[in-house]
Amino acid sequence: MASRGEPNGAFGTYSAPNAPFGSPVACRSCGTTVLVEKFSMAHTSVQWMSDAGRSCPEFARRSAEGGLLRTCVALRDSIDRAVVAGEVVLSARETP
Amino acid sequence: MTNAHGDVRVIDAGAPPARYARGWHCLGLAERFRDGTPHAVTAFGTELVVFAGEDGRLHVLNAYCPHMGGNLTDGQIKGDTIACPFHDWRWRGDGRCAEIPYARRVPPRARTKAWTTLEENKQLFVWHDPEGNPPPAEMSIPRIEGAFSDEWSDWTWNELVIEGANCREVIDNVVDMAHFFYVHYAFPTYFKNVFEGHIASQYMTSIGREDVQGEIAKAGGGKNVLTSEAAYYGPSYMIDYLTSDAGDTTVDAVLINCHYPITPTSFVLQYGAIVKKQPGLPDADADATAERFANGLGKGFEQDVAIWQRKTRIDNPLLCEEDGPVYQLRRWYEQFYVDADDVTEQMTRRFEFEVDTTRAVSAWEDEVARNLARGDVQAGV
Repeated sequence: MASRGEPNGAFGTYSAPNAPFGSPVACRSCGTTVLVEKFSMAHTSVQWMSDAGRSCPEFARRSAEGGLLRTCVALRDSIDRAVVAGEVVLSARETP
Repeated sequence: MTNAHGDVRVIDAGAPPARYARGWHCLGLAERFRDGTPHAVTAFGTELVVFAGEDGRLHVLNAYCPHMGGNLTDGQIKGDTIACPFHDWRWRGDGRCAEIPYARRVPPRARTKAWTTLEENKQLFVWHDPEGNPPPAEMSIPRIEGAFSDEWSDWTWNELVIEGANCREVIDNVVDMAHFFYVHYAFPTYFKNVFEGHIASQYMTSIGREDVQGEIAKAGGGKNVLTSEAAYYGPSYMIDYLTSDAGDTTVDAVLINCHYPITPTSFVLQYGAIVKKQPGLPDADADATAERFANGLGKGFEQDVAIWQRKTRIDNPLLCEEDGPVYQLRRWYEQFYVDADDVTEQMTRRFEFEVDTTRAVSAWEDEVARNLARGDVQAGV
């Protein structure tokens, strides 16, 4: 992956191009585990593996109020910490 | 996908789906169907008739009379029924034949298809499901408070018939950050998608392009920040809550972007807007602002149409990291094209994607600066 330059920020390594989607990150607040993929520090992709409205009390509370839910702050913080801890590597996964 | 000779990317154009999406489809502003005449709607590969009953409730039936195939959209509303122009058979909104004036009795099996309807936000919706199941409550259309408030303008409403493209093209725009710059002359600085259940949302902040001055930006002296929270509720009805800050003017608007399929390769695109009235200004000003918003939106769709009419369908788009999640969006969209029992968690589980706009913003700033330096300022929308 020489053409992509060096990984920056907290990232130490790239994933393999054929790696499966994302790295598991558990929310420090409610324990819900999601898969996280990062192409860069600013990019974040999150695949939930459970029903967000059931597994996360924050989503349960807010979806009961109606309206759209852009993000959960506790989960976002947990993802940022996982990145700093090197638990999420920069993705070099190729799209289909 | 590559060919036998190496790394040349080969487009897989696929084929449009043979079926039509399960879900609520907006047919337009409800009031326009209450003019005492039947209305024809060509949708889902067939023809429908829309008419108002005596109590003002809107009904949607198959257009073709099951007696001898007469077209009810050419008939007349008689009392609480639509009368066929061929032999005057009278059809009620529930699909039952109420009367055949020249016959002693109505055949017991005289029943036509009555489509399930819904009125919300002063718009008429019809439920389409190839399996014939009733609409689940959770897929209902959310209420837009502004549509019922004196503090907001009336709806503008427009429609465009799109030939030669499947309606997936309009859905793809949900994730397509970069096309907003190149096709719509907007300048996205923040872009995030969330798909969950039957809802696909797009959060976008964009700024006006100084090299392409739109009407709203011009009015605000060129500095225009648009904050948009848009979501498809089901396969075809998008509500977009927009705030436009231009100079010292803030405009709150709600845009509707919706469509219904005519055939697998044609659809009717509809759009409308309401705008919150500015305190102290006459109502006509709010209507005019809504009209201006809608005109901008209309030009935007025309820009999309110009692309759609010349592009190919592509099932295997080749993406870069600054593109939004096209594959995941299509995985979400797929839920409306399979039987309800075949909807998987992969299609409906929450998925979030925030685009890194850093590179795009710096590249676009450079491009705008170059255009301004050349004196190349286009009239925008």
